Amino acid sequence: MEPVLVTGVGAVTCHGTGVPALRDAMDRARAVQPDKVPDPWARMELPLMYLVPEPALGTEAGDAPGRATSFAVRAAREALAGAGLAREGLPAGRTAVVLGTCMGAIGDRERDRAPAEQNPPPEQDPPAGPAAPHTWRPDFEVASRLAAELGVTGPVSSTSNACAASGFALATAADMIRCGEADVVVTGGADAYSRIALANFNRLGAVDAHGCRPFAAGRAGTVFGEGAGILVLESAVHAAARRARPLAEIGESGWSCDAGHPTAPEESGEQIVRALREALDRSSVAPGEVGCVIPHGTGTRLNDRVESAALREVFAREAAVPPLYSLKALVGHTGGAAAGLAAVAATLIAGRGSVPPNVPVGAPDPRCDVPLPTARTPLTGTAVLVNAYAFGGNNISLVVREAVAC
Amino acid sequence: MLTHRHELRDVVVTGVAAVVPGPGAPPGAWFDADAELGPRGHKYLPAGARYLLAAGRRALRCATTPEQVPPERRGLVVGTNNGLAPLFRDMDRTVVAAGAERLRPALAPYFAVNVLAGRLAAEQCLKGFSCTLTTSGVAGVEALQTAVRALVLGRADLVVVVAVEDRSAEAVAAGEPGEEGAVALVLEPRAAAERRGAPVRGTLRAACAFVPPGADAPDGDLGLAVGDLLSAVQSEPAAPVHPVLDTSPRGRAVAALLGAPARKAAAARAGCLTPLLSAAEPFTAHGGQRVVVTATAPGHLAAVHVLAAEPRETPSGGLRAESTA
Repeated sequence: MEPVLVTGVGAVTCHGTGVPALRDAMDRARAVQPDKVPDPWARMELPLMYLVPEPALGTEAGDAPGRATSFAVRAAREALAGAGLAREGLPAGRTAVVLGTCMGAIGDRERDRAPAEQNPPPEQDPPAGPAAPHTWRPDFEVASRLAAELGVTGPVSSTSNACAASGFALATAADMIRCGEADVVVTGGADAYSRIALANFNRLGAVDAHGCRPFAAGRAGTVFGEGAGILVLESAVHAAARRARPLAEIGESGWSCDAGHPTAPEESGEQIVRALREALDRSSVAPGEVGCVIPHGTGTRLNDRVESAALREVFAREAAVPPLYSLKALVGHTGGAAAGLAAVAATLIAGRGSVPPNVPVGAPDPRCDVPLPTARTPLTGTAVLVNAYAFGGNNISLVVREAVAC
Repeated sequence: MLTHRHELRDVVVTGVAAVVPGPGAPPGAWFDADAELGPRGHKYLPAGARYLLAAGRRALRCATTPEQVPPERRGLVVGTNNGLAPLFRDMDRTVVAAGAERLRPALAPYFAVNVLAGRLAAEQCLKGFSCTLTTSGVAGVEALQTAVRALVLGRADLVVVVAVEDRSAEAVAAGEPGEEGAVALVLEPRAAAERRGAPVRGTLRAACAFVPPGADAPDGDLGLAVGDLLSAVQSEPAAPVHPVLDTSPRGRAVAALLGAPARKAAAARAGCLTPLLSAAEPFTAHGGQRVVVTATAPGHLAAVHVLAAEPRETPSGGLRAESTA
């Protein structure tokens, strides 16, 4: 099948707006402390999150497009500019948007509600007469508003597979190009602070008071982060026709579902292993060609252990598991944006030919036993694997590899 | 513009079921969970997850012995906009009024909307994949497209597609009619379905597009998009068009473009259920073909062509199993 190329990337994280800000943070490899969310109604033990600094949470204008949408728009504009695609250069009807988000605009809705409205009178039927003029805004409107901002006139889709949402979005975007449904797809993910997401993670005892520390012996949960990671995917033919410079190639993906517990991963890791192997097999990439893995690695105790064991199984015939780059230690767990940001990082790694130093997060967990070098290491293979897992046992692995010039 | 370039695996519908309130049924009260799901195991499922589970079970029974397909080859695609909206609102009220410690642990995972698909996936061993789409108004039609794409690309040999909604108080307060219930379809490659002796109930083709809100001129992008959608899904002889439209400027513009058929348009509601219910109707009623066209105020457009054989009852029920309580 025709290769699917990455021709632009964009990022918004707690380190600021733009891929240079992310790249610099990756090079520095310094942990930052999570913010205490400035939400007076965040009644929970650990109201901690890695917030995007601009605009400060709660200072958005009332008519702003919404926090997650504003991240997605900023990252998408950066990615399109990097790809050299102006609005008029987007092929009409052949440009798509496929965006992953876990919480969509739910955080905006939470802030829109005045405290007095938290206990409204019982619901009543709408008043008779003409319908209100379509002022209601859907909870999952981020993809729609991004597409409207970009002036896209092709398929536009919102994927909400929780913390694997942008992994499924990226895979779907690539599949759409492979199936001939689009030539250019703006894809990835975006998520912002939501009170109910953070409160429920508190309720589940899954927030680490000391920050996001994947694979550390002392880890005690995860810490969410805000952000957006956007990629411009393009068919090789379309990219070649306009002489675009590819940054990387998006290989195939492997999908699976634990079909078990709502939150805990299946301890055997059987379906995670299947997704990993399927991504490699469908991409015709041997395990030995993988030079780096960006794991899902969130800092929750069981998840990191199951993922580590799955990687050891998949790479059992190699001398060692390739180096992991644990992105969440740097930007937090960005939920529906996590795989999008991981794919942006994978593109940078493939392009630079080296794996950045991992953020030091304390003594490693001997039960995880995966390589997390804290010094820059050369990329020894041509492919980078990206994993994304989610509540509901939704698993996906994706291959990103060095691009061959058009 | 929207046609696939390569040879499609011929995909057929083998199971269909709808679990929706009858006319005039009171919100929420129409669904008898014990009668539908059995006396145990659903106490801590939100309403949307119950509707999804009920419709999915029925559609799989309708497809007869889906367990012939290995678990790793069975997938699930769910479309929803407001499937957990009432729960989200309740959770936020609880946090603001009493704090996170008052949230119910059994419901805590459901802040992520895809968790509403988890019980059906677990119970029916749908290990191929589970994917949840939330695109405004068209997530149900998109779920069909995603399922077909997954089958064509060999990601699965059977995919359950479900559109599910629950009543959003915010939408209702804004004058948008709410939706409740679920509709499920089982899709399989024709050859595989025939090999395992599954009932082939018909075929479908789905396509989606987007035109930014406000670009409603008939001779502009909207006219082109509607024309492309219809040509992507229509076949000869042309099937009757069944529009599902709201009263927004976009809904009125698409009605004008569709002409005469739009005079009988079904009212689009605040969710993605109605278009898929309309697409499922020929399978559950009298057979035949139709093209369902929908458009939403945020800018999404979708079309689905269905060609259904005359329904035949299956011993395990399913096709005519809509709840009419």
